[in-house]
Amino acid sequence: MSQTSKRSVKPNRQQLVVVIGDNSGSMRGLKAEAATEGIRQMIIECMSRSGGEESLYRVLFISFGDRAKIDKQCRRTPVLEIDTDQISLRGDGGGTNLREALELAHSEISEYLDEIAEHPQKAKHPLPLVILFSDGRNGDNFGRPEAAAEQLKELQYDAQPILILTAGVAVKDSDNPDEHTLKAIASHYKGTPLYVPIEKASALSVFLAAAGSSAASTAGEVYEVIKGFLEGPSSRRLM
Amino acid sequence: MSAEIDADIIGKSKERVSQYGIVYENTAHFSTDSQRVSLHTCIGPPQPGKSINEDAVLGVKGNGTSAIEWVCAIADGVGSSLLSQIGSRVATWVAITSLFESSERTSPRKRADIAIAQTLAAIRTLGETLKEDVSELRYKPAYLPAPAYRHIINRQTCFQTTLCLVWSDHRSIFIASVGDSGALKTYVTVI
Repeated sequence: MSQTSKRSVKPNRQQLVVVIGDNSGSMRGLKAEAATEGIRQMIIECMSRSGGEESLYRVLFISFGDRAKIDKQCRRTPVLEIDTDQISLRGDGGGTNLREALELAHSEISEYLDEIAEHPQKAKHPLPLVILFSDGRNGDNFGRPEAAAEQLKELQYDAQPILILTAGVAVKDSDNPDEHTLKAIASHYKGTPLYVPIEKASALSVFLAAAGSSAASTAGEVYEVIKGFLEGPSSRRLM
Repeated sequence: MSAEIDADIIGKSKERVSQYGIVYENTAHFSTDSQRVSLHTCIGPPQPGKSINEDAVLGVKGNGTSAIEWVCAIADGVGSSLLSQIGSRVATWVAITSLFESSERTSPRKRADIAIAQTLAAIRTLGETLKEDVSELRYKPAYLPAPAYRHIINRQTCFQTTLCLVWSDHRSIFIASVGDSGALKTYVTVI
């Protein structure tokens, strides 16, 4: 990520927020409920920041278990058109197929970037923000996710790579998120991966709502969001 | 639907201000013995999803019953704030009403303070009305889903506006500004 970008993102330009959520069996219960609440709150917060009748955010929600799938409510949908009550993550997807989730995200974001490729004021358009959370490790039978992650990170808009923020969820002793892989998937800011460890289910909810509606459009801004979260009263450390 | 929430406040202000002079709203030109005053507000360049002007401007040419020769109030409603077009309009009406009704023996600075305090109180009253609307949704804009409407009400980010009050007493022009149209609160005497 370039630190010397001359971009000047306008607050009234639409941002695509992509949530890639782990729906594997280990998420069932409190974690899935917290994730659902967090995504709903994120969308409501984005709705409330809309400028009049124009949605300032679009949301793409990909859940993944054995397979990755796009939520019917959130297909790069303008937030004001989303029925938040219809969104849910149940932890009923089976295994952890990170690779397929990243490939699906790549395909969707590529299409979106093509749609805005000819925008006359590219420098004022926010970069898509990807938020990925998982409490497990990629299943061996699904193939390694690194290559798909690299392809996703190569996507660019206005000569800037898209932003990827990852979170490892470990609220139970049995949770074992693959921090190494999640950090490798994340974008970096001054050598630090944009990665957040989550140790309380309720913190996952707060984190998703805050990060997804942050309108962060540079790695530095995402880093500040992480810092604010970790230092805030809702962070894993203080709860 | 949302226009009704300010009907009482603005209705009473209109009644009171009309005793002190001729009232102009949105676009007008008028002259006094030594000055010409113009006011105008418009929606500005087209923007996707923007169909209302959140800003308000109000002017009054005094009729001699007050030492105020003329007064204008300009309020820049915050585009991302729910019902800011109501907040800005209420701000202009309440501030000017207060200015006319405050004692002329009070200093201009104090009169501005009172006008701003009464404007804040009026907007707070609107906020209280909205708090009671989380179930009935009488003032919810059609485009906004109910959960987002409730969220905004609970967060109390509604009716946000700046306010700039300018008036002349035949000898001096006074400016009081709140918000990002100048300093947080500035009073300037010219001449």
